[in-house]
Amino acid sequence: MTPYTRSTLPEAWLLKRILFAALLALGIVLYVLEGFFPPLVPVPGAKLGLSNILVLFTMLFLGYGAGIFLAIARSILGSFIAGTLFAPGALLSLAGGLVSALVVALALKKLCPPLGLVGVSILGAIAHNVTQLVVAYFLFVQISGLFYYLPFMLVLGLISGLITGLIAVYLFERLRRELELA
Amino acid sequence: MRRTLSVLKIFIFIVLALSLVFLYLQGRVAVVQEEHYLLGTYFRIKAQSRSHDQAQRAVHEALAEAKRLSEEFSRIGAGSLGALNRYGASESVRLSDDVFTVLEAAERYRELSGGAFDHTIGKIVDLWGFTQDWDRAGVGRIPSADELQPLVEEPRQISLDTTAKTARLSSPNIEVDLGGIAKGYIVDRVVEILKKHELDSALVDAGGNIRVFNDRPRKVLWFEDRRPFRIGVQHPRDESKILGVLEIWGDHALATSGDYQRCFFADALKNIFPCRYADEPDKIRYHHIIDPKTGQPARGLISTTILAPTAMEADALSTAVFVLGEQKGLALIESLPNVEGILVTDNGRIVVSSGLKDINFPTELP
Amino acid sequence: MRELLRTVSRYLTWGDYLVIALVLLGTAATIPLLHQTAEASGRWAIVRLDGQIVHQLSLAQDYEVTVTGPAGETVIQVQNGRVRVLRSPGAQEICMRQGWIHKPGQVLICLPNHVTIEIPGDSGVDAISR
Repeated sequence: MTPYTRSTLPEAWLLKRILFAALLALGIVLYVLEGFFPPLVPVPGAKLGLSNILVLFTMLFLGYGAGIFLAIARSILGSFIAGTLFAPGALLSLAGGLVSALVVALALKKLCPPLGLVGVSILGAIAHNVTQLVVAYFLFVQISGLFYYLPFMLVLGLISGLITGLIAVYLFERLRRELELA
Repeated sequence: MRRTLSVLKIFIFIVLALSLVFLYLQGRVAVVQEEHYLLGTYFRIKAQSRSHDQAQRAVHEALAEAKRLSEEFSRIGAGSLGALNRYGASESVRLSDDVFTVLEAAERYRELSGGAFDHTIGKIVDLWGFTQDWDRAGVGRIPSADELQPLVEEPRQISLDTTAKTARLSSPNIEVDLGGIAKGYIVDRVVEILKKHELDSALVDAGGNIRVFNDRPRKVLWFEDRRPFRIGVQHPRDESKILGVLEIWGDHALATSGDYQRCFFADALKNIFPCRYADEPDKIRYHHIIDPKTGQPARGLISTTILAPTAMEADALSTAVFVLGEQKGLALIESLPNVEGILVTDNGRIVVSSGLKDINFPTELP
Repeated sequence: MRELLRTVSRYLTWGDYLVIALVLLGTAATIPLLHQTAEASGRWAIVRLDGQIVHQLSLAQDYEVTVTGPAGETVIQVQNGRVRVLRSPGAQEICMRQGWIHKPGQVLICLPNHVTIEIPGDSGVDAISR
């Protein structure tokens, strides 16, 4: 997918900064809000990952670097606000978010066209889940039974990636139309 | 049209994903395993059921019952058996239902085995040092003939009153020790509870005293997974080996009595050495299965494994057969329905009863 | 909602479908993992005190672990992928004399201190009559 940003968005430095700040703020809010709800399924680290939509968006409009930066900042600031900064879960989510952002960036760069936003989003979600599992394995519970969760993680990644991907596609279309009109 | 098709595709994928989850849930069999320390040994329950909750509940209830019973059967504790041992020689003691049932059964097995199984020789066993806390602090000793003789010669009668559920001992030299049979009884009660909860199958292992049942084979869709329980029989001279494996279908119990379970060695100077499986050169093994007629450890067999319908029967018979020896022991096994045995003699022969002729056990100790 | 679905179906590319199919295949391939319990591997030792799991020891590193039971301290040593009991209270010293264990299904039992150490896995038998 060719980055939309360069040609259509005004090249104003200020506008980019404002957009990034807004996206980051939204990402943090979604990240924190999501942490408040009880997990949908009793699997550690299983989340819908709505804030990943923001990562995807940032990459599309502001470039890959900005997206990766947003993923890191969102995890750190989000855990800070939620008060879980030094809990083991924060490290897991940071690692998951970072690897997921890298995978999304790579997929956008190398695998689009054949892949759409949904496919990219699914890959990102699975990368997020599997990374958490691997990090948890090496850092905390060294029991092989942890990989018992692998099929769960794949299905959950598929479902959450599908949902966030679809939302991203919808929003992206809407936004593109608005921008074109403007 | 194309759009609806695409939506349909997504729908099909979701259904596919859900059916994978369903398939997993279908084939899942919950296995609950719990272990506790009871009666001076480990007590393990492994239960299999389609519902994890159900298995968990059953195992918890069974363990609670086992715990309660193990206190009842402490021969020195606060239960009615402890009371019988303290006051039974001077007055009739009211026993709890469980203790009375087991005491009655013990009397039956004493008669059946012609006195080879004897639950009244607690004092003699104590003289050898095989006390209740043998595992923690037990030190063996060889009692003198003077010490043993009066206890062995003493007629040890217990009069039971079935209606009042009381018992009375004929002499203060009697100490009732139901350890050789209570373990089996507890295993049977535990199995009863597990069966009441309609579990698919379960294994109860009280320190090598085992009962299994296999009521329903597990099913994955239309595949039936029929599998017997595989129970190894301990090699009496090598801890890390088993003599062979018995494949058990349905509901059966196994118990083994061996001279390696609680023992000590003594050399010519009567120095005592700790128990082990392997024989020690120039040392004599003294073990806890005492022949009531002599007051000495029973000789001739080194291990007896009994297969019986209930764990209590297997428990009592393994001791009885051990004391009776090869000939009389085999005769006793053959005289009882649904009871089989594997005997190892002190010269290393492995003898099996008629019902086990086609199992692939070696005939000599490997 | 209808509009959303329409947009969505338009923007799901064949690559997306491929990804979904691959993930489903991957899930199917890893489903057998679900039927394994945490115990199935064999490079682990489970330490129980009074039947409760107190440690899951990896056999990949060398170290010692101390478990405090009713009779005192049981010191467990892990070395070269094997486990043994270094010290444990009890006159018979049975679990120390058992030496090293490393095969699935092997068990060390320190009765006086209510400690068992088990290498989980299938040893071929469900129990041993001993």
